[in-house]
Amino acid sequence: MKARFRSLLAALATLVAIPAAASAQVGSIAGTIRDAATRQPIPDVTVFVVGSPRAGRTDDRGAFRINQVPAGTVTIRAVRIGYSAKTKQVTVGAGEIANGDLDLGQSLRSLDQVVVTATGETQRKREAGNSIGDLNLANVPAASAGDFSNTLAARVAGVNVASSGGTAGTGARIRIRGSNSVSLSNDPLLVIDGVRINASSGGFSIGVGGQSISRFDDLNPEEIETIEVIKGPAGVALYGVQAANGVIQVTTKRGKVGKAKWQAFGQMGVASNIAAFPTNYGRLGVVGAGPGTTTRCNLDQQAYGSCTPVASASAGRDSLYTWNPLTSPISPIRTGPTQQFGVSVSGGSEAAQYFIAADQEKNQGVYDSNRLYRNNLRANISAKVNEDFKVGVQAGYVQSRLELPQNDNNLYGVLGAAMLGGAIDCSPRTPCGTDTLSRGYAPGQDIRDYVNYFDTRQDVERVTLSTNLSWVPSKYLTLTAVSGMDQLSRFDYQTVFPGFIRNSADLLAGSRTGNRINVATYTSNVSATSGISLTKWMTSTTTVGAQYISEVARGTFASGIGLIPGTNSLNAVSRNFAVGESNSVFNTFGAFAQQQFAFRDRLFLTAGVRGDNNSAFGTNIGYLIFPTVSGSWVISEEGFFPKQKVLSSLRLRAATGQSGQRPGFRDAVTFYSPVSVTVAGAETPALTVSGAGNANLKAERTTETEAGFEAGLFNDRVVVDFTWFNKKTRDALIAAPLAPSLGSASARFVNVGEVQNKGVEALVTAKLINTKNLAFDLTVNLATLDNKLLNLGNDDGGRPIPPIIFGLGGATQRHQNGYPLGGFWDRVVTGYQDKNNDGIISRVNCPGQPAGTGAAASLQCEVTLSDTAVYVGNILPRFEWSVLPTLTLFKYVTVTANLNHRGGFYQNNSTEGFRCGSAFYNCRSAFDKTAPLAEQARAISWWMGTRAAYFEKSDFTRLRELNVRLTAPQSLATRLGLAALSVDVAGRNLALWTNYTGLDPEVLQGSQGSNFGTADFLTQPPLRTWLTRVNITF
Amino acid sequence: MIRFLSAAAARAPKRALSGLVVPVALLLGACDTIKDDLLTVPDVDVARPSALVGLAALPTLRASAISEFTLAYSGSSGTEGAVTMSGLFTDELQFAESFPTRVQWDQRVLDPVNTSTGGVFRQMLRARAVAKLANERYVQYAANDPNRTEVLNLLGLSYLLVADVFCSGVPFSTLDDAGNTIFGQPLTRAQMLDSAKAAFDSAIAVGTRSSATTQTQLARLGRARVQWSLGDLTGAVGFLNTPTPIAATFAYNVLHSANSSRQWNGIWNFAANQRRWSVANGKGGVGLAYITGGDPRVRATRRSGSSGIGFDNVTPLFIPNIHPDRASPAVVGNGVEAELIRAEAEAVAGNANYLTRLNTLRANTALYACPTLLAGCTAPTALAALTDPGTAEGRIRQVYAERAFWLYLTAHRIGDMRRLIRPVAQGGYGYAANTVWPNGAYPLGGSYGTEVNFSIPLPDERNNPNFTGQCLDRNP
Repeated sequence: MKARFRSLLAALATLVAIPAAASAQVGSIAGTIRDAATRQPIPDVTVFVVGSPRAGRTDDRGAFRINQVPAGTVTIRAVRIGYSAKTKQVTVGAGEIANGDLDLGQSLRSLDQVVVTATGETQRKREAGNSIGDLNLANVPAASAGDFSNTLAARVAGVNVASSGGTAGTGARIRIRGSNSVSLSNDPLLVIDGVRINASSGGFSIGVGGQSISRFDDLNPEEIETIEVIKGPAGVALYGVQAANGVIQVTTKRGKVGKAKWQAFGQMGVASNIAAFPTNYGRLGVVGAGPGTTTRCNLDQQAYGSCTPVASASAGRDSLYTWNPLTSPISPIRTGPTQQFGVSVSGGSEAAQYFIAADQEKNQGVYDSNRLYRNNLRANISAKVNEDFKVGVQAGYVQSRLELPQNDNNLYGVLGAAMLGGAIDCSPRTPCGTDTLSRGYAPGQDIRDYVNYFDTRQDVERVTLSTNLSWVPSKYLTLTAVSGMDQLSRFDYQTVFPGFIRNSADLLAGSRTGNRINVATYTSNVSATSGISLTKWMTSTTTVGAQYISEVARGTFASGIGLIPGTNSLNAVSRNFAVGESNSVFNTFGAFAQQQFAFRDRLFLTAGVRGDNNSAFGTNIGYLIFPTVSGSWVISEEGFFPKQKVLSSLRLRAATGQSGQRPGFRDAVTFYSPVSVTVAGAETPALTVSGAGNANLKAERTTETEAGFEAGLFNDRVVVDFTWFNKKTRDALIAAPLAPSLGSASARFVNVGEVQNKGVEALVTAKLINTKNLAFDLTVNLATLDNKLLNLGNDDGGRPIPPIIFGLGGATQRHQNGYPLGGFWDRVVTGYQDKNNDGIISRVNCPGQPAGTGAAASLQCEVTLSDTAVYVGNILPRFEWSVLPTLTLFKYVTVTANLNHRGGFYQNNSTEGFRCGSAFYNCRSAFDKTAPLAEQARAISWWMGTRAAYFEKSDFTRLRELNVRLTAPQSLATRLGLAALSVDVAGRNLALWTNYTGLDPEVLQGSQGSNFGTADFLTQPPLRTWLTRVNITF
Repeated sequence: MIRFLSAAAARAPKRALSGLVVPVALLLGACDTIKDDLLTVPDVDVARPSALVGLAALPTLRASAISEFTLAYSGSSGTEGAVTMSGLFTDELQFAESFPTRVQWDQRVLDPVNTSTGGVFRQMLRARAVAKLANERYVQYAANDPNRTEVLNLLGLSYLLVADVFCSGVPFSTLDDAGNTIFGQPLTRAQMLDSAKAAFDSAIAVGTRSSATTQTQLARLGRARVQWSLGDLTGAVGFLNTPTPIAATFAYNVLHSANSSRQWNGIWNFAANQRRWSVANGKGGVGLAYITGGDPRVRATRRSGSSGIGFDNVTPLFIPNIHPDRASPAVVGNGVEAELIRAEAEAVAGNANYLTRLNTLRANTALYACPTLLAGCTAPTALAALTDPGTAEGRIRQVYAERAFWLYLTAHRIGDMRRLIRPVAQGGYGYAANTVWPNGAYPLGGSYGTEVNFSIPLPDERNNPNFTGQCLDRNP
């Protein structure tokens, strides 16, 4: 083993030594890059010396300088998003400064845009054989885009961002090219400035009914320069064992050479609820022989003859009562102010550049108990020790204070209390018996109490640090080291004030919970890249490296009840103390190598391989190997390619690769959890079986193949980027049920599943009008997705694993062979008819339903159901398109929008289902004979034991964003002492077109933290927000 | 011809690809030496199987067996338990909430894919598995340890509980230390009772039958219960009376605590705390009137205000105040049951002493004294004496009504009601089901179902190759 290690060192030493012999006299290249049409200097242009690691970047005046360029004739290449790359041959004399002036023409092509690779190096998109979705945030209006998740929404083809609701501070479910895993997280990996970042989608330890916090949204878009989405294993193999769900790679803003540039903004706005909450119904009636009356004499009881409606207690009124607490004066829903202010400064010299930013956000939801305060700080410093040695330090700090309301699947939820409540406001009206307080679900309990007396919060302090070192010992070799950490400290806490919540004796006594959680992720990454020109037309680039990642989570949890009024601490609880601790550590070690051959800078063939081992693998599992191969060919630059205007450029590309997803902590081991039990009056330690391990458990392996092209049309005024992909996950972890008769854990993981996702993605960008006073750009992206569970596999006894049934209500969703993961399943209504013309669709005498008695004995069944559960629909959209137009008028007015459509998916409208079919029944079709028969049929089908009638097709089109920017003329800005001034008026969630009848087709009752669970159940729908923002530069 | 690559260049990528493996292998090989440091992580929060081996592990195993049985029997903050599941299924409790799976229990219209039933079923079998494991470890390290008696009793009670609550055909399997599955064959009800019998016999042997410890008395009571279930009242009484009669004051409880939510009394939690289920009163026309008369053996109490209405915001909520607190103990077996079996045997034999026996119990206020954790409780007055109904069936129904009150919410009622309608030839009384089980119109619409025991929950047991997917029979 030691011999092998010595061999490795010797190899590395050889790599370092090669260039030392190649040193020669050097000079510099300096110049200015200008727009070919306007002659204006272009900032942020990267100028490379082709075949060398030497590069420079233009400042605000378009100027750049590259030092330490070997004397002789070299080729420089200037690239920037929005312009065609251009090359120029420059002769550099020893000790001289050569002229590198270049003019660039505008273009929509992005072939020469630089992206960051898994190895920490950069490459041009033309070199990549896989599709990379990129987002330059300079082109995204910050006011309308909002937080990080929303910034991604509908902007990158193949990336589905589903908002979990309208609660301020909560997240969204992000899926890239579908869901790969049945059992493990399907969240993508997040990398910021080369460092792995905790992006847990379920970041709250205290239940509030469903909504949760996504750590994705700790990121402040104001600090981000670019977002790159590497969508699948074809491109992410070198990220290793956790990258199968794709990688979101974020590069934060860097300083630029030049004097200090200050930028500041302030935005204010208001968010409001736009959902139409349904009205509660009830009807007075006499149950059985009486004499007692009920306000809940429903149609089902009437059909069975067990309840007879009576006239209203109020003379002249029908006995059908209605009330809507959420539109009444007692509604706790109001508008929520939002504001955000930020300032940044950037600049620097050739030797060092800096970017420093501070940002404060206050965002209030539509409940008084929903607030988010967040402060972000960032300091990024890049320094050039000499031409060969560069260092960068990127540091970010987030402090947030979030208060969350009670909602969703929650006895104490505001919406639940209201929408499942009575049809009568008991405070001013009768009959409510002795209850004169009830204004919602619970007797004697005002729904506003749930806002006023639950105080549920999370405080976060988070530091992210990334350092990167780059050493170029010669023009043949670059050594790179990236290391960093992500330290997250959370305090989740809740106080229920004593004396108010009468539903529960414990809560009436007051309670306090305080959970402190620290999550740290450490990344160390080293690599060496050697670039050599093998011939005049062929270059070779070789990279080898290693990576170590450690993810450590520790938490302590404490709670108690019996809170002293006026206090707000665990110190003040008097009983039912509970304490717990949680510790988990994942360590990953990987090594990788990549070889690329480039032919005439047009054809690129790349192969790579990574080996990983992880602490979560079973004890019988060693290193897993993930290979990748890709090719990219800019065929339009070949001499044989016909020069024409219609097809002005074309690149073909293809890639295939593998990546993985590691098992969860303890998934591979058998273990027992400590519990307490009272034995002979004494608290005694005991154990309960919690995990039935599998020593052969390993990572899931996802193989993806993709192919596509980028075509420039009409002199590149229109660019089409098309990708076909097909990925299969094998060895998918399936929780194979263990027979209850074993008396063990309920399941154990085995690597037996197979999942497939395939589809196409297209991105069309067009510069349709480009005149002095009118410009119109259009971006359209679309994606299709065909997700299917190919095989759940067999258990260790060789028997097929039965479908995995889950979902809200226990059995509404399934993982079943041949169907999309998590699809909606249940028995469906196959027909209904009001056979006795009584205006009621009833289940009397239906198969499997209680028989009618008395007069009801002769009734015919009026609803038919399928005999078994059938597949109804999938949870992820099968297709999605977005239109993002940009209209510029007279240079000073810019209008942008984000219109998004999602189709081919279903939502579980459990809010209405529960209102119609559960014990809380209070919907119109439960009481009102004039309700449409179709509505009555689906209500009664719930009573018959199926929820399928409430699985609704949920195609929708939403105007997510509209932003109008007014840019002040330069003369006005100068008169005000500013370098630039603009004002944005922005709106979010402005319109929704859908046939879905629930509150919103996009909400997730279980939040984004739920891997597949999907339901619209008493969840606050997305809000509409209007904002005004002022941006200044000075 | 235009060639994109020379032949040599075309081969180069292939060579390079295979060459890539070398540096990666070198790096990985180098790191093999430090693999343990890099990839071995601590796991301090849980115990591994090695913690359950050796003499020192026996107290933990015994405590674990008690813990699992307690959870299976009377539940916790999140587990329903056999007592409440069967209570809702019979005439003891009434549904007052929203769970679609548990309304099936109340209505007795069961879906085989009922996750709530599956949870309780799994816990009942986990109680049996852990008791079995604990017994095996005792046999291995300390076969004569007196604490083994309790472990064996819990094993016997687990079999008995499954036999009472579920249909015939429940399999009992084993996951061994190596993680291998050893699937059991479905057992008939008689075979389950045989398993219980074996466990109780072993407990009696270990504890020595002449001993008067709680555990040996419990073993004899358990053994008597097996004979009672088989219709052998004489045999049952033999175990109760020999060598010394089990006293009416004997009791074996599982203990609950406010110490952790897992230790909460699930009966209190679901009825009083969560207001999910109310004490029933004349359920389905033939159910007993547990509320009317304020019987101190039930202590049905309606609280004021919102606490007096069920979770569903409609049903008047009467809580069983014999479980007034999360820390209230739950009776598993007691001397009253022994006395009731004796009374039943006498009633069947036409011996008028059965009534004396019943009335002696009713007169003993100490047997239904205030629960220790019930605040503001006033001492009960003695229950009025019963009179002879005058018919054989009347006497049996009278005995069973007394059993229902004395053994209220102890998971006995389902076995009682099954036995009342079980054919005489099978050791029952053969009464018509609609004179025993709730029937007619169901309050939430429709009618009560006809099931008299729980089916084995699917689909979880489906991966047991010995399991056919259904009960062997659904007979009472």
